[in-house]
Amino acid sequence: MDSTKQGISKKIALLGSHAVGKTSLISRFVTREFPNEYLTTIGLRVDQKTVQLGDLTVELIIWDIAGQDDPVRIPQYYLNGAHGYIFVVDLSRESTWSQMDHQIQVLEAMMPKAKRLVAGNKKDLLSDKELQELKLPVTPDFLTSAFTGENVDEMFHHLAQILVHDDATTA
Amino acid sequence: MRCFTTWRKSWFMMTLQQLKAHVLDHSAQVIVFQKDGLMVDSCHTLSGVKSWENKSLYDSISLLRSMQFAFSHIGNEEVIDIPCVDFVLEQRQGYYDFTFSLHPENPDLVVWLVKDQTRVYRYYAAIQQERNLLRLEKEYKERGQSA
Ligand SMILES: Nc1nc2c(ncn2[C@@H]2O[C@H](COP(=O)(O)OP(=O)(O)OP(=O)(O)O)[C@@H](O)[C@H]2O)c(=O)[nH]1
Ligand SMILES: [Mg+2]
Repeated sequence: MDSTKQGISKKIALLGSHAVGKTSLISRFVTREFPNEYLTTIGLRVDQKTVQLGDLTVELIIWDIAGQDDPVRIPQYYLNGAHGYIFVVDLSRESTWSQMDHQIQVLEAMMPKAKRLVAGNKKDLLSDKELQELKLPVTPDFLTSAFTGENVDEMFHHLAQILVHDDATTA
Repeated sequence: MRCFTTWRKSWFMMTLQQLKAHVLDHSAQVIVFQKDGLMVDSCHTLSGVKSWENKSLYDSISLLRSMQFAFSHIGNEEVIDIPCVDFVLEQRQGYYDFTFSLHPENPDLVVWLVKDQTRVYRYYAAIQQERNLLRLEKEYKERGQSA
């Protein structure tokens, strides 16, 4: 599926509980803006951004899926065909990460082929000491802040890289 | 005074089928496209979709572009359900339910049913927003108390 006129195209999904910052991360990445107001996502919104990895142009088609504590409730067709996903938690709210190992396990079963990254978002709300003391059930791949932009581009680029690398090794 | 019994069926010019089509016209649109994305037909009841004519929908709509694989493998009886999509249908921003299935008479074509559910989902969004804000407030309060 993933060829377009311009290059490679990949579907990725952002998942996690409500208000962890999924929409804000996408907005920061796609439009460089941080929405000031919290407007909960319902259902699904799709955005798109092209990234350059060396000679390669990769289009990320990003499915922003409404926050859901119980991944089983996400419509399976939202997830089908995803090449990768980012599971986002809010570092400042334990309720968003206390069950993350179980939630990720369920998502793995729903998207067995998709590559995963875990984002610990809202890093800006915690001091270095608080960050060090946090004991998350799954260690995030990136600590991000949609507010300051820290690690946001890096995370999406890294996922794009993993997906392209995956193509190269499975080809 | 007009008596209830004088309301005879024959007074109505429309059959029930026509009436149903008339009512649904304002809330749904059917778009037919080839598996390579080329739009073949549309009933235009929600939007004229002029900018999509004679083009591959995959070039214009990233959501569909990311589903190409699903369309090329869609089963005979399968209905791909993508509910509650925050979507701009030719300048009409709203919430739509999408379903995709094979054309009953030509399996090379995909039938895309677009149902405009904006009114319902806006109401739901307002409730969900309130619920989420309340949950956040409660969590922050509890954290404040335990800190
Ligand atoms: N301080 C800070 N606030 C953030 C950050 N990211 C998001 N927020 C705030 O957190 C709230 C929720 O952000 P959203 O991006 O809407 O969260 P979401 O995960 O999309 O939420 P749902 O759509 O309800 O699932 C908003 O008030 C944002 O402004 C961040 O990195 N730092
Ligand atoms: Mg959101």
